[in-house]
Amino acid sequence: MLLRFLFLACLILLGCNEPEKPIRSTDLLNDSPSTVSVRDEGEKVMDTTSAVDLKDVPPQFRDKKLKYNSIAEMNKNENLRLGMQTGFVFVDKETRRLLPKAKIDYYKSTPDMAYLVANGKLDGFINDEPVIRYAALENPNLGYIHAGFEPMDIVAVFPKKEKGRSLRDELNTYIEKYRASGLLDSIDNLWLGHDETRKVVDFPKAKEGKPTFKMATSAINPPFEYIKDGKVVGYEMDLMARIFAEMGYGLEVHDVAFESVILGVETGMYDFAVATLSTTPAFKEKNFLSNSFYVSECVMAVQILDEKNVLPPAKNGVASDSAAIVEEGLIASLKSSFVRTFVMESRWKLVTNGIWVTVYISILSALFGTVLGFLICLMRLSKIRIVDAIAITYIRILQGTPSVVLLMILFYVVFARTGIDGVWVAVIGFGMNFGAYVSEMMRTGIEAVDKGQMEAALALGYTKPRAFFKIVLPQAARHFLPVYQGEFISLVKMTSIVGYIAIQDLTKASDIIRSRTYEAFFPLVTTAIIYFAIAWFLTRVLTAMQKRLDPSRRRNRLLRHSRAQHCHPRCHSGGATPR
Amino acid sequence: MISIRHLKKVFPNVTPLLDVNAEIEKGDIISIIGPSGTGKSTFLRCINRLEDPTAGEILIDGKSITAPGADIPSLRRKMGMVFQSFNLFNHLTILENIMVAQVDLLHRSKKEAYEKAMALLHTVGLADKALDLPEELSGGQKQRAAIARTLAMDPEIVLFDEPTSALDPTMVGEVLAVIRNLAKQGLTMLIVTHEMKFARDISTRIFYMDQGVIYEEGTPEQIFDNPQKDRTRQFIRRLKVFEEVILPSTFDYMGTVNRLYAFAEKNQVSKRMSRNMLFAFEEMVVQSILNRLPVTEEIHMVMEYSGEGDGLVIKVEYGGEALNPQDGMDEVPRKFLELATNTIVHNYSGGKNTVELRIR
Ligand SMILES: Nc1ncnc2c1ncn2[C@@H]1O[C@H](COP(=O)(O)OP(=O)(O)O)[C@@H](O)[C@H]1O
Ligand SMILES: [Mg+2]
Repeated sequence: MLLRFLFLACLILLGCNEPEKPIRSTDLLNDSPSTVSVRDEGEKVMDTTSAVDLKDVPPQFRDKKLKYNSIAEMNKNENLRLGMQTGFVFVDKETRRLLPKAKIDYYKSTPDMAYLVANGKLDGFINDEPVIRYAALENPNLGYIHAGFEPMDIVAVFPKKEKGRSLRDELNTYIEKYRASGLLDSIDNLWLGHDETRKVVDFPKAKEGKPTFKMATSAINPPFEYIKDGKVVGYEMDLMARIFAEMGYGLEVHDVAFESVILGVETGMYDFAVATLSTTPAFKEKNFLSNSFYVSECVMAVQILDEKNVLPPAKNGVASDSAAIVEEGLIASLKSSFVRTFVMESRWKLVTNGIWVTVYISILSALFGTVLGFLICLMRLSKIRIVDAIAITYIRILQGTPSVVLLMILFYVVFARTGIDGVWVAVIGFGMNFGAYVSEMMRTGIEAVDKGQMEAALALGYTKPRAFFKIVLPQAARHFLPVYQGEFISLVKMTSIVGYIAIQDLTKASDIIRSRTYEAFFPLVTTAIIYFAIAWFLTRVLTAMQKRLDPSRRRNRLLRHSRAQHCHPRCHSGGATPR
Repeated sequence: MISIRHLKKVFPNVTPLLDVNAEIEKGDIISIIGPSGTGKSTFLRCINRLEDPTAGEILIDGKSITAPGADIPSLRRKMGMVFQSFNLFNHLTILENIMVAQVDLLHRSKKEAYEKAMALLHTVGLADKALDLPEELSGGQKQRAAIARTLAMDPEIVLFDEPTSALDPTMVGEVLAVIRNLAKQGLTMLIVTHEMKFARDISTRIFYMDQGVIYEEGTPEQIFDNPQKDRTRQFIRRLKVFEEVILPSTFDYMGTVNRLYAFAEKNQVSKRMSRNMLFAFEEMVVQSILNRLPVTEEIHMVMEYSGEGDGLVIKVEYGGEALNPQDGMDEVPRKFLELATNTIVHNYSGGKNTVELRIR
């Protein structure tokens, strides 16, 4: 038994040190001071424990009590719940093969899943070892076990076109150069190390006459790519920035939802993608892939049950939750959450910028949508059948299309090659959607106005358009403004999906912050409060507008006005004064 | 001032105006009367082009307004219209209702418009309602405000389409009083109305509309006291009419008798009179005419009833030889018939027999 353990431990260490493939994760393990102690402890564990099968547990977790020590153990749980990063096609398939009974939920970012696993809400999730190791630094209750995956190459992905191939080839020469010079290793050490001051990335501007390339990533995967101080940073970002600077090219980074990264490359929106992408068979077939610049094994994140290791802010189950609060004090804990959510790394800038983007997109979409809706409404009211039919078709199609899908179609298909800014695509998309709803609202409002109103205006000598704007529309507005207001608030909330097309709105800001703080409660609740505040404010503005249309209010104003202006002389002349 | 020539209006299902011809002079006050659904509103609406005429021509001061490219908004500015349902602008106060078109279309200053509006509100007795909303006014007040709104545009002619039909009877008077005042000032007006006494008092001429045309026209005296045509008379006297064509070959005795009963019941004809009417029908029409008429001839029977004065009149028309039904009638029925009727008149001219019985 003892022999077998020794043998396995050696295998792991040796296996990770395979000469052809530099495996930095383990190199780092060997270099970092913590690893030394882990190894020591690991040996101790091997001496004492023999009952539990720990072959899949990495040495640094051997003295901790893990919720599961092997995939086989997980398989025994009938109600296993796993997290899965949306867009992880290969890992998804493998996970289902390994754990056929598991129920899998999909998440947009690793930090969210790390938080849930550390708190026992999820049983585990699979991701690259460095990603989980990094998450474990922030979540002391997070560990991982080996899941039997082959180590995989992490690569950059290029479109299967001539342009993609030539850029790939050029990149490869630099990767090999960096590998030879040991630069790859030192970048790796930097990003998995503790010196925060050095964790910055400068994306190069193009030199004279050289092109600028667009790189897609999904900055929710620390340490490979994430947001710090409002900027995209991380191991892969740093590497690419250095290589492109040396090549003399400009490099523009686009932070999009993970599932949009490859889509963006395939549709020609971006020149290549770097997002902790490994060489899965699907990629190999459909894209050009660079040489590997990292080798990573996919592992299974699991919870560490040891209570003595609970450190704030990560909490471990309900009991320790309250214990932590008593210890720390509710105020102090909120304060520390506040500091980490807003103050550290100037994260409030992300939030204020997000609020601005959300408000900006909402208002512009509403304006565009209202104008569009009005035109469609006029088409609906047209006596020409075909015009009406076109309007109806438009409305039906837009009402039947989920906004996310519409937005993605516009961004990745319709406007993919125009280089038009994502914010404008969002305004067009939400405006089109809003217009469809608004037009029907307006039409019912207009049809609710008695026909006699228009006829009376015409009989006085108004032209038809003027009568419509002066007499019919204000009355229709009184009918539809309350509904309009509700629809507008829905629009504000609906804008929270713009993260899909690489826009950093309020929701995305909260995602980014959570991916750094590994904390869900505080950022989510504050985000909800901010949305509420925005909606409240915008409702107030609309209500004020609505009041201006209310004739009895205007009458009171008029009354005051006429008292001030006419009462005095008229009262004297005995004439009737409006009372 | 306005010449209407061969005006025709066809709707998908009905043709309310077949061939309307009229001349309207400055200062004319014309009341248009007639049964409902005969196109009186359509006629007014064609004049200010709220409806497009199907055919025909309307000339105002010699200029065609039905020609393509006619400036309709400016023509409408000369022509006010008062609607049955008032159509005050619901989102504006009464004062604003009267000011808005003056400012927008006649380019009067706010002050001028305000003063004109207040003056008009005084004349229609609504000065204290200036800042009310339409919904806060009674029907009569709304209509007076609507008249003020029309007058504010200084129209040369005002078209009234049943201005009092939507009002409670108690409010009709106040609106008619306002219109009477306008008549005194010599404003040219076309008024569709069912208020016969009012029409008679203020009108210079009356148009009786029926059958898609101006069926009869004349001074109030001519139309109300001496209508020349049956339909006009029936309308003026508010006669209830029963009409039936009887063919000897297909005559359904029980059917006709049932319909006569129903007619008498519906119009609250007295028991005695309905008995007499049925007896007269039986003896005259069935026994004395139908039985003696050649099978090829048909009988056209019209029965007119008015609650007031005239009572019940049966008119029977048929062709063939001269045939006085009273000739050769047995003594007993003849006696009874004399008891049931006031007069029986027989005429024969142009191959046509007419018999008129006034039932007692
Ligand atoms: N817009 C319209 N479309 C179709 N039929 C109409 C329309 N307006 C009026 N009519 C029909 O034309 C006829 C005359 O209507 P109208 O001029 O309102 O009669 P009046 O005012 O004499 O009662 C009626 O049978 C009415 O149903
Ligand atoms: Mg009518």
